[in-house]
Amino acid sequence: MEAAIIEEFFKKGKLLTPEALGLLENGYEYRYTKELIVKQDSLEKTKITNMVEVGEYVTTNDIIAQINKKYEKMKAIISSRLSKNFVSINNLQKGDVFLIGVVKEINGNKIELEDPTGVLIINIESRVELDDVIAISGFFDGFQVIKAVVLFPDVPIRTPKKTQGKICIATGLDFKDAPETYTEKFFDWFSQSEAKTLIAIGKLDETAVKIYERTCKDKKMIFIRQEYPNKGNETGNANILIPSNPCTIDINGIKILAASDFTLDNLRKRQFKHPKIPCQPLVIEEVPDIVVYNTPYEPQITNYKSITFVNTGSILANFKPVIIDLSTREAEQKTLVF
Amino acid sequence: MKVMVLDADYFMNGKVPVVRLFCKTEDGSTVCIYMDDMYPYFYIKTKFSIEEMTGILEKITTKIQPKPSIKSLSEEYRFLPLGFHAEKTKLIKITLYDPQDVAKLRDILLSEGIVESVYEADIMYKYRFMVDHNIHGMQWIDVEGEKTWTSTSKFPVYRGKKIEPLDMHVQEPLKYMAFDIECVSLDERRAPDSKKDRIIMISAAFEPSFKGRKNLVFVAKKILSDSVESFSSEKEMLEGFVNAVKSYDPDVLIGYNLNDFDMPWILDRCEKNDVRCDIQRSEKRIIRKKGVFPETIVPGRVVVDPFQILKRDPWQKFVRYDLNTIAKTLLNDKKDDVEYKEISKLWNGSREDVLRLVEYARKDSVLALRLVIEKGLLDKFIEVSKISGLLLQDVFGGQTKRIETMMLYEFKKHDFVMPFINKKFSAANQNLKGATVLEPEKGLHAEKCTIVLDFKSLYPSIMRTFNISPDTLLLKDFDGPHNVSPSGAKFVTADVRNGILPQMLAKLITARDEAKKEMKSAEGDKKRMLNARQLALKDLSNSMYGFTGYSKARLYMIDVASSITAYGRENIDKTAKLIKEKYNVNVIYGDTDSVFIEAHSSDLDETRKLGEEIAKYVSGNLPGYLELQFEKIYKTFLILTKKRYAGWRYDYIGDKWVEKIDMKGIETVRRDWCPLVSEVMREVLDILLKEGDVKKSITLVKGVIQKLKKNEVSLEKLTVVKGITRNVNDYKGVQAHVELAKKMHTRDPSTAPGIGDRVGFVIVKGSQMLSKRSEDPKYVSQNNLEIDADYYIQSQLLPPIERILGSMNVDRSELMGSGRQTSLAFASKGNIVLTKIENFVCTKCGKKFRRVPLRGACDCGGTISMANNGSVGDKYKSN
Repeated sequence: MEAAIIEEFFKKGKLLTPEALGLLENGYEYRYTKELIVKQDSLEKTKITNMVEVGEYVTTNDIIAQINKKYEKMKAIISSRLSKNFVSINNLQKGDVFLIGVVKEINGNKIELEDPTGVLIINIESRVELDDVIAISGFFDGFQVIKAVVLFPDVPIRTPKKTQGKICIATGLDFKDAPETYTEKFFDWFSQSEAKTLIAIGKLDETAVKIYERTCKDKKMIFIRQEYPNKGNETGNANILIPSNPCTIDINGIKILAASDFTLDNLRKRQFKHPKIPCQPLVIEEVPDIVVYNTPYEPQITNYKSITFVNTGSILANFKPVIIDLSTREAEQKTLVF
Repeated sequence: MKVMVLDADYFMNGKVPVVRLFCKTEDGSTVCIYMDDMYPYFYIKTKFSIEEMTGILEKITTKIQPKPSIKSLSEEYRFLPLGFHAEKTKLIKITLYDPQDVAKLRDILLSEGIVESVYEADIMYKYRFMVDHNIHGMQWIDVEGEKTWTSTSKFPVYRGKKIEPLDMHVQEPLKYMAFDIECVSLDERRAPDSKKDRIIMISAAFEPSFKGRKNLVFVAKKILSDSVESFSSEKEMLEGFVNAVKSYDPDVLIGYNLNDFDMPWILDRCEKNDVRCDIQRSEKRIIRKKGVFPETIVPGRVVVDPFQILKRDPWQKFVRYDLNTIAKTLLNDKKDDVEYKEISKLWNGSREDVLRLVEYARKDSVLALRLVIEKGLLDKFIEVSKISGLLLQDVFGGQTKRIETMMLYEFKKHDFVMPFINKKFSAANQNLKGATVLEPEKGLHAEKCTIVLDFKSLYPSIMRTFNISPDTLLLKDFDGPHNVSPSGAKFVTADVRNGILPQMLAKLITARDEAKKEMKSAEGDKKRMLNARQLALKDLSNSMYGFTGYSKARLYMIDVASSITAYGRENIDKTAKLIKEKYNVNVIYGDTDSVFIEAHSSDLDETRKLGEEIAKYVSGNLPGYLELQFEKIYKTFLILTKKRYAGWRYDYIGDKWVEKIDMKGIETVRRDWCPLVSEVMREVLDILLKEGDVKKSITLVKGVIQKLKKNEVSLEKLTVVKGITRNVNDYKGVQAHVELAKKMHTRDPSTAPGIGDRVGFVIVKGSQMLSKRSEDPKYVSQNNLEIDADYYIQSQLLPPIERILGSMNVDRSELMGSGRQTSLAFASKGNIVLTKIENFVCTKCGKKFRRVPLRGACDCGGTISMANNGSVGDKYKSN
């Protein structure tokens, strides 16, 4: 009986609360239980993974652990993407070599590559940044590595992943500095949109929270604070989630990477940095479907190997929030004039 | 008849060994019990049958001269002690007549390779007897026997037919006699020599009194006084002394440093004067044993040297161990004020002078006696004797003998045999991995309280919990239930075989708990005895573990010892993890059986509550007998390195907090430091611990350095005092105080310090080597000499101060005022919180890094810290 009821409602795209199921089982008519029946698409499954956990203090030992963690994670990613026989620096032998190391110093075209066994100076052509973990392919002539080429792990080509539901993305939401009317207007707009969830990056303040609570009663907001690395929800509202910056958000299986600073290069290198916190192993272990980033404050939607990059500008200047239909993966820029 | 066993030996009556027990009756008189019901024996493991063995023994004994007589051979079944054996093993017991033949026969059996192994072949016959009759030292026994007359004893003798141990605990009816000698050197320039110089006085003190007198002084000079026994010569005096000992018949002979001084002197002088020094209770000779702690054995009596007892006591340490210092510290009394060089003058002076010397001498023996009686120095040893089985005279040595003997009794009860330890071929000490010492978070922890928790008898608890014992260790595959230790050794569980060490531990611990319980309601002597008992029990149970890891011990099995330490390490790691996970606190240090935790706040009551809660939580989550206890709180805690720390300790006593400064591995007083160093050390520690102010302590040290440079420190504070213990010309090498004594002798021989004097010196400026620049402070001020400030700064003051402040990365150049700018920030490392990380810096060589190297350390091996704008620290907080 129970299973049959659930099955029948499920086919119609409707889910039952235990309360509703109880009533239906006891012979209540559908119309009496209507309010207890929820539409499937309004029940989003959201899972957040905080990418940084910074304690009150960071110790030197933490930093040493982090840099090593980054190296190990990147080594695993590089090894899985490029199946080569990697050697360690103190183990180099004449011939073709593949190395994995951290960029220690950069001086023109010369870099110092460091791995746990030692440091090596290599001439390279590609653009790398300090502390990048990279792979090098080249020829070791007994003295130095020549013909060195930097290899990035990059991401594989995939077909775009789809699921049900719509989400709204808004970056550059600097509520702290914006006039209250801007905040009012934005939340008013969002409350009327089809999206149930808002993924935002910006600066949140009490006033904004109050306005949100008043206007967006049945919506959910995932707000990434651009100024703080740590998660933490001091609003006390269960519908406002404040994960760490950066973080990954999984909505019905779609993975969204949100970070204040991010570039395409980061994705190809599978690693990025946080301007505020030193030496965090921000390694992109799982390939995201959508990347939401804050700077530069320019509204744009780009695609790279089925990954959607979204930036919506700034609420203070040029601002174009985006609604993504997860069932088609279509992203639509909206224009809001204040 | 009820008697208490004080000492024992044996003699041969024809072919029969006779054990002689020196006993005390309840009324305090001395009796001897003779027992001849037992012959010496040992066990062998061999493939031969008794018949074959009899033939073999017949042949090989002819190689020993005189040929040992074997009484009998018999087959016996015993458990072997090393490794788990489910069944008893067949052994042959060889019984002989003469105890001395045991070793001879054993050695030849081993060297000829006739036997696989021998057991219990090195047990002293008196202990063989005591173990087999289950009699312990200082134990009361019931004797059935007849009085007999024999020339072999100076005391009433009973020939025992049957003896039974009694469960009787009464104050031992012992008689104590302390003595002390005074001697003069014929040549004042050299130290007295017992071969050439004379004893002039012997003082003695008695408890209970001797012929109504509490003390006596024997004087080798005719002098009229009620308070002395005067004689016309040294020889007569020695005879008088020997007669007094015989007549008083003390059970315990006491003397401060008597084993190394008074006793050898008396024996030497008696020999020289042809006096029979027969102060022992049997015909056996007095034995002198040399070594680090020389020993004198007076058969039938117990020789007690408070100096050695105090020197060997691991629980209390003194700066000096001379009688005066000890008397001041422990008895709040002191020796009479006579300088050593005055002795000869007084002895040759007027009647009053001699009497002054008499009083001086009297005080020495009185103080020695008071130390033993009032401070209960013997109490613990008496209890160790009762528990371990050793005779009182034998308990003053190390723990090994105590435990070995205790085990022998236990092994006998459980049908085990004790392994023979072949001293010639004893195993080399294998590398035993010790306890875990968690890397300390060096520096000063002043913001929050530090909680110290420790494990109640960690190693004994581990042995009991996991049934670790030589006889439970699996040497081969076993299907039954067993535990595998973290080091990989396997031990059967207690339901297969309750290990002999865990069983002994259980008994010791239960006995200790009982003694402690009983102590609560006891008073006076009874309480004192119970306290000594519980301390003795604690020592014994704590040293049981060491017995398996010490290569010269009988049950040395590296697998057993390393399993215990491995469990210990696992335990401390597990505890640290449990605490961190549950309470979100920082474990800042851990050593063997204790963990130091940074509490959440600086509030004492709150911290105590947390400490108690953690202890309870951890204990509840650890197996078996393992129990973590809340030990103490440090309001501030300074840790320099492993095992060197100081803390401002708070104890909740009654209903209020009591504070004190605790130190471990850090000293503030040393003989070769001048008072200034001790003073500054104490002040620096006080500032650090009580005010948590590193800068202030640096300022203080800088101030002292400036004062030294400007010559503003009083000479008194710079004076180091050392004693002249022998003729100044006999010293090898150059020593400052000796050089000064020589110098003073050339200036004025009449006031120059001599042997036994203490010389105070300061170091003055000059071009000579340091020890030649020592000078008399008086001479310095009279002649306006300049002290060597540099020496006081660099060699006296800075080394110990640097050890403390160095833990906060303050270095010498900083204290000298020329330090690098970063070092002040280094100073508060552990507390300083950087808000920005500019770069990283090696705290050893100063090399800068843009970021930490992957390997986490500098190429020079130094550790790396964060730096910002000259500040260096290990903590960063993002704002």
